[in-house]
Amino acid sequence: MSVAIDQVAAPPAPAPRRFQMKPSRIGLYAFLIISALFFLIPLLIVFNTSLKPMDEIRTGDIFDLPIDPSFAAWAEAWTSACTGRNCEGIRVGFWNSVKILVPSVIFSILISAINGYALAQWRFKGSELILGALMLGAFIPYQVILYPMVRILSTVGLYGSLPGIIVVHIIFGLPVLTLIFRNFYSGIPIELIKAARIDGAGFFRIFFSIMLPMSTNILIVAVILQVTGIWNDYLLGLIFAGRENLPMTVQLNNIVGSVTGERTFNVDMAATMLTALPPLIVYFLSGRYFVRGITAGAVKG
Amino acid sequence: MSTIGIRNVNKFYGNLQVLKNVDLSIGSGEFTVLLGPSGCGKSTLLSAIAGLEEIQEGAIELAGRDVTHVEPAKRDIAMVFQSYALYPTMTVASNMSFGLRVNRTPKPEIEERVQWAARLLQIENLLDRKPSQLSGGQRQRVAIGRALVRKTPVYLFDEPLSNLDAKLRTEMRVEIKRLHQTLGATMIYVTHDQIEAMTLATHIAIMRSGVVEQFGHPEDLYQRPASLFVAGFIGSPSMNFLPGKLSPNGSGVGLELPGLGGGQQAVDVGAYPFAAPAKAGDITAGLRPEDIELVNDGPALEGKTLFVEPMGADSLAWFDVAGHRVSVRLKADDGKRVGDTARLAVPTDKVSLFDPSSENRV
Repeated sequence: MSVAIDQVAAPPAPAPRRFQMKPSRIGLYAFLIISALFFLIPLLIVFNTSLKPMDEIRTGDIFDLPIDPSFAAWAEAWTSACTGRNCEGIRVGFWNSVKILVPSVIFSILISAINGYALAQWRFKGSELILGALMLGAFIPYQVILYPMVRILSTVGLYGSLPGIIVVHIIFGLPVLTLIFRNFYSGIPIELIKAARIDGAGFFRIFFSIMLPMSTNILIVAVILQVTGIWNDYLLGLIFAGRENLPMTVQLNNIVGSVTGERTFNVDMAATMLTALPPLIVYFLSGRYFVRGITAGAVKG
Repeated sequence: MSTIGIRNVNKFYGNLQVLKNVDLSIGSGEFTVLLGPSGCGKSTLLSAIAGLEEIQEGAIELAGRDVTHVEPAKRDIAMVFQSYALYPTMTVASNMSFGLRVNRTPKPEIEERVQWAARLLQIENLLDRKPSQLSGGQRQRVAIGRALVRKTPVYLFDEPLSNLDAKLRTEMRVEIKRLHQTLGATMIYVTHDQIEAMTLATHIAIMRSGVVEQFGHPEDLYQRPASLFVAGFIGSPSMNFLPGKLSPNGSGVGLELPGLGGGQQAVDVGAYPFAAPAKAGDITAGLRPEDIELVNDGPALEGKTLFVEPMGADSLAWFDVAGHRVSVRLKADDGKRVGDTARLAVPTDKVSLFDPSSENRV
């Protein structure tokens, strides 16, 4: 009797929910894992091979793990891999890429941010026209502009030089970045600008003191876009940088392409890994800001 | 301290005229409220005074100086915005000092002025916080503080209290009034809230669709509204309007009203300060709810009681007078004693008369 009363008074607590795998869930995970492998396997093979000596590569399967993993091939790729007669390794290309990357990223972002701010917050005659031109510029494939660009740069004497390739990267980055910044700054209330104008601040003072400090998230997005875009660029570097300033991607191609005797797969793979690392590191360090920044403008100004 | 002159200002957005021949002279040290419904052009006028909006015709003078084409920063004004517009990445202290830093005021003086304004607004303990860490009322204080530190002769307020809840709004209203008395500066204040306007203003400019309908002391606007619009806009509940007929006779001016009983066709309004000699014809009579008394005999409007709203301090009784709804403000006790019908005495000395076609006061 008392048992019955107890049961009425305190209904049995619901059993703790067991982790249940529905078939649809299993299918979903299977698909995700297969997709991840599909994209990862080439990278794994490259990494795996770069750790093996040539003997193992010659005799074994590409999926075999290295018996005695070593970074010897990485060191060789960095310091003494040959492109033609020049055997200083891929580090030359690395430093060239850095020299191209740093000023290109800084100036393209700074100019685009100012452009975006001007287009978003200062309605002036022709601003709509400029916006339209930018939209067009953002979607024109740049192969179309290559030849005119070469002619223009050689006319002003910048063709085949470090400043030349930097200018090219800045120009090609402007349309998309300006649109990104314009959209971000459009979300900022116009009253802030009005208040600052009454406080006596001018165009640049407002930009540097008020707008730029508010732009952390969107700046990170722009930095990621530009760093990966410029680092991975091959075509522009090949055409505009000139023989002395070839970026890492171009040099990687030259190393892989110049064969004297046996093809040293491990060095080629190590050089590939070295070239791919910087954008990967940037992604790993700031990926979460990337997502946050892209959605930031949509929710709140 | 500074006078403000707004001279025949016209402003257009494309084909739309948003300010029509606005002409106001604002005296030094006055608190002028621009009052009107949404979209009447009051905020546009304030922006024009601030220099944030260009005007196409007319001129704006500050302290006798024509500033029509002068940059906002050089007009010697400070402004408080509806959305506060605090700089989100700066602390409260930096927000307040930004204008001074831009103008290269010496550091000790900046420090002194920020402390002075913070003390005045009781936000000394908030100086190191960011705007996102403040409540609405605190943000409003900071926004006012940012204007105060500039120590300009003219302060502009654009609906500063409309984002606050009712209790805070009352507190801040008192605060702003106190600031005006302490500083003695010229202030222009935009609002659509007639209570704010009536309590704060020394002068009210009431606007409708870009036109200033009336400019004067709050009591003048309330007692002697210049148009049907002003009469209806100011006062809560609004003025009662009844269609009537004027008939000047030898000794005075008769006013016929619907529902008039007690053996009389008309009440005499001969003492009414007519702008021009009274003409016979249709008229709209306006009666304030608190000016109407309930009487037992004599000439009065016969009303059927609709309902009585007790409001604590007083009661509001609504009557049906010949098909027109009329509200009467009564003492709380009197409100309980209202029967099914009542007789409403016409306050001939306090009535407002309007021409029904032009809607202007006669």
